Amino acid sequence: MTTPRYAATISRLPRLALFEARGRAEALEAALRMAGLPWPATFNTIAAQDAVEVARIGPKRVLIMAPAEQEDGLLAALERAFSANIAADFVMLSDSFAAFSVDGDDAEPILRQGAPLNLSIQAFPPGAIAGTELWATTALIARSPTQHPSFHVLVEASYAGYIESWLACANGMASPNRPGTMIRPPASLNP
Amino acid sequence: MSGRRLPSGGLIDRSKPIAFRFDGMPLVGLPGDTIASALIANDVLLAGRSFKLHRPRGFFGGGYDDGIMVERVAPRAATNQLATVTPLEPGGDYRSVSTWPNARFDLGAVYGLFGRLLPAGFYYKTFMLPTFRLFEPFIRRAAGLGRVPEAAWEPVSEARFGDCDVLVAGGGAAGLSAALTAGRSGAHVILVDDGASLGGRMITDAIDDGGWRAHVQAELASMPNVRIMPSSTVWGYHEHNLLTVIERHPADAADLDFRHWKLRARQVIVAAGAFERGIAFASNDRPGIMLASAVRTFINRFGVLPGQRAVVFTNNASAYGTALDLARNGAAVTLVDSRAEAPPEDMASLKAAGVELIFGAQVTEAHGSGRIKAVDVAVGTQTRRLPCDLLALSGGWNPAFHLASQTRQTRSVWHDELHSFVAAHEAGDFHIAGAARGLFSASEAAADGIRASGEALGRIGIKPHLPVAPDLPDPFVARKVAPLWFVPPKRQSAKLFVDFSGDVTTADLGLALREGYDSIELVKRYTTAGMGVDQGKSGNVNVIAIVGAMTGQATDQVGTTTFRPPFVPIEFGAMAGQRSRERLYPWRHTPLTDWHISAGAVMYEAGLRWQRPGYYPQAGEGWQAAASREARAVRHGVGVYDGSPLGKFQLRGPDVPALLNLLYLSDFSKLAPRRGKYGVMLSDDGLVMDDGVVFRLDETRWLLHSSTGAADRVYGHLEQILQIHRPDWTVSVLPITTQWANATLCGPKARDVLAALNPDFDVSNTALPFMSLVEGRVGDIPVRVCRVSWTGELSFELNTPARYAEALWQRVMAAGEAFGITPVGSEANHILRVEAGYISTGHEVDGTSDAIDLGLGALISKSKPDFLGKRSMEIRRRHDPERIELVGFMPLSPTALVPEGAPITPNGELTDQEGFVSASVMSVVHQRAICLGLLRNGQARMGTVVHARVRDKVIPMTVVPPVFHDADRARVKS
Repeated sequence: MTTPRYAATISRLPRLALFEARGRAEALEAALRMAGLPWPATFNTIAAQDAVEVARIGPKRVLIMAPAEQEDGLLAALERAFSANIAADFVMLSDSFAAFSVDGDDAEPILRQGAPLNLSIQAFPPGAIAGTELWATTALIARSPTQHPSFHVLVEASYAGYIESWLACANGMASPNRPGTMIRPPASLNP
Repeated sequence: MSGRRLPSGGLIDRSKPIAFRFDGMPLVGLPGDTIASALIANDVLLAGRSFKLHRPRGFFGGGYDDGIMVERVAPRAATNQLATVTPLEPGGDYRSVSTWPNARFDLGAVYGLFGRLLPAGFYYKTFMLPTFRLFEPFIRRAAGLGRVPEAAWEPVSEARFGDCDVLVAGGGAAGLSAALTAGRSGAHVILVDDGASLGGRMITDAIDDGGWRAHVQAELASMPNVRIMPSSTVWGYHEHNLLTVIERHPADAADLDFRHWKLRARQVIVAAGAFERGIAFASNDRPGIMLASAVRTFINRFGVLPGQRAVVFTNNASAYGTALDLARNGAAVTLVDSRAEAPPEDMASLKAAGVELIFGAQVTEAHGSGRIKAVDVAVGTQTRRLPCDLLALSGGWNPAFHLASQTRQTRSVWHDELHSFVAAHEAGDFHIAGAARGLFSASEAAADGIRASGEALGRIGIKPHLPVAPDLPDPFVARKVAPLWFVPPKRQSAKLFVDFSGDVTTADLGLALREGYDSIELVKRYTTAGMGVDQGKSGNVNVIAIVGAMTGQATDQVGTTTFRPPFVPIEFGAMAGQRSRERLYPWRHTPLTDWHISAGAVMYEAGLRWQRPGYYPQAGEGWQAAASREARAVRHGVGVYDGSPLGKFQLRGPDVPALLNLLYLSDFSKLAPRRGKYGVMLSDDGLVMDDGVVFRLDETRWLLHSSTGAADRVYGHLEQILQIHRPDWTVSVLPITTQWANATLCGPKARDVLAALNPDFDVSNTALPFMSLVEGRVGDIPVRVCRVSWTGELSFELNTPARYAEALWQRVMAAGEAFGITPVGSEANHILRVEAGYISTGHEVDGTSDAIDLGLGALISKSKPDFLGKRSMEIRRRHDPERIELVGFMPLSPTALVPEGAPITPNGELTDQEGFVSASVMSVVHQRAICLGLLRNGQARMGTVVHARVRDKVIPMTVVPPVFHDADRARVKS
């Protein structure tokens, strides 16, 4: 097909400033508050402050996301906050994740082709974020707190081409990426 | 239009005739037809040949209870299309399957002459000499399944997950009222029906519902919380209300042939109706013999009259409706009822329509070849021959228990009035309504749908808004059935078919029982009854009852077989969706992929879905020549490879040293900042899981490396220890594999290239010795340099955040140009690590060896009391002292490149293996083939000759130490 099957726009987003922090919840909360960042009240939700979003994606795991230009400032703040807190740690993962947005009325049907997670507005309201399977890889999917219907998808950067290919395919479009040759040299007795 | 199309009626469009072909015959159908209805409209009743005996066959059922498949030559060539459900297409070119030249004059009919040689299980006892394989291709070719065309249609299919509060399977009276109840109550409802139009038996039986069906359908369509899926089938029930659903030609996506759903429903209501069953009698498979319900389907849904002179043979009231429909549409009808009498109100309307009624009678045999011409009817001691061109048959009804059976949460019980199996009870979040529960009248079914829906909603806390149950006139209902499973034949050679799909006769059932297959499950497997295209939808209960009659058991004592998914035939392509070719498996790229491809690299997977450069061929080079050239460059000059996929984890916390000491054989408690140590970790069972180098970044952080292929496994292992075994430890594990790209310089000139990059740190061996780490910059690019080696040469791993990867690589190539730097792929890497004798996950680390087997016993710390897997390793070694150990091999023939994985057996004989070749390369150091491998008692067998077995030859090899280059590691540490 040359026209999209569904009413949705798929875009690869520019690199984000992205940090992951892990540790005991109380240590994480203390460090984030020291860094001047919000603390989400519940799991699988995003707390936003200015352009910085903090997502609790597990009992001992948070993501801090912001526009790329805030990377240095956030890095410095987090280093200060975690330096004295050995019970938790953070690391910059801006290069480790690729982000996509899937916007439009049919955004959910496109993502549900790869994700078993229930993304209906009732089960996955604005501001929700969760890790899930996405076409046999793992991904984080977030529903935009301000725009509806719009989802952000975070995948490990190495899978970005594969996921981009799937997203296009799920919307009835040609795949923009291909893997390698997928052919290994044949084994032979004599070279 | 030809003679069998009725002048009115049916859900078809009479304004646009469709030209099509069947077995070469030019025919005409209508939009809304299936292939089957269009063929019958053209008076083509012989549509195929039977599976085994190639007997002429016509349509027996009117939907998924039939087994006639056709090949679609065009459009979109495909085979095994079920004719009774596949829509007719303009320009369609169809042919019968496994017939030659066609279904009417099939030369395969000659198999019928040898029918006595082809009883149930014949393939277990005939065609054995000299070998069954000699005959197998001919038997397979003769069997009645179509061949996949050369240019087979590849359906466009989408696989999708879904969720709902209530899934209703079936859109008849029960399903419609269940969906209406749930929809009005605000639940998120999905209603699935296999028909193009909702209504089920209300359409096929032309029930005058006073507009109720249209009203409900319109109301459901207007509800945003209800999704209606016509032309769709729930084909499987899986754990926890996960249902697999095939949606054909979705209305919201014109380019899709299928959408395949995996639906998670909080509540499931099965309103799938019931399947009519036949009665076995002599030659009951003649074309023109149909289920009575199929006849009504063809008349009322498709406006086709299957016969002009019809006999209706029944043991229950439901077929009276068929007789009436036939008579009202101009057929001459005789109704043969095995019962002694029928209620007067049932008889009255038939008599008024001119139907002849014969009670206490049975059809004993059908006559005709290509189509039925007459039946013999036994009335008392007399036999009448009734000429006919159609026999409509009803032996009762089997509630559609299939999905309930798949839940494994409910069992079937015998119903003494319906003489069929029904669900014993509803199970938890799974409900059954209407005919699927044995309530066959439309009004009862509708009321039961409301009941089931109300109960389902109650279980999920939704207050039900129950509609008023409609009053749906449905005069002929099979509430009581006089059981009649088969009519004993007058001729011993007569064939009474109980399963048309598999050509199974009553004689086959008797044979199976005589041969000792006395369980119904064994009878099924031996005879293949119920294992054909229709999966026993119309024949299973007959088989059970006849086996009961043959063994003197009551039917309910015989037992039942198990229904399994799929409920209907499903195309594999529909299930796969678009997960094929480049999307079959996930694939990963490093940030340097574009550079590799532009440099001509051949890319393929090398561990954990990473697409990596295998080799960079130059003009005229094959892979072996390219890999050897790259490996030589590393041995004599300098090479650089993309090591980005290497697993990396950042660890922090007060208990990291304790974790590392539990994890690895060695003692890590004294590792100083900026220093690294090689470690080997075992799994719980004492076998090597992975190896890698751990660096201490500073006082509080460590950097743990795993091998590429084991990165996920190692991460899971770490989390398992921390979350389950030692939740008291405070350690943060952060995977950082893809944050950092890696360009690894290797070779005697590696330091020269690194120095040429003008780093802001000292690269001398004194400042940056083997197993040390430095962080700094190369120009404006931040780097973290690790002194480790996996090539047996001086190496520097230059790690940088992925955004700088390509810039760093370009600078390395530019700085290395003066030193003849060569990009190195994974094939050359393999050569280099085998020469150096380094182990590799997936080769030597194959989950069967411990550390001592792999020559790594020296790593076991004597200063710490324990590590994970220690006890298991010691116990195993005590009980099995003859270990399979890592050794090197040199084939006696220097050019004999032994395939990796080749077994080693004593003297190369075909016997138990004593080891295997784990890696095999053409060494650039020795200019000959060398191998690593695992060999029983290998360390004690140095210098002896062992033999690898490969297909058609045996390759002798000398056992040598497993390090072929730089045994004292002087070059690595230089």
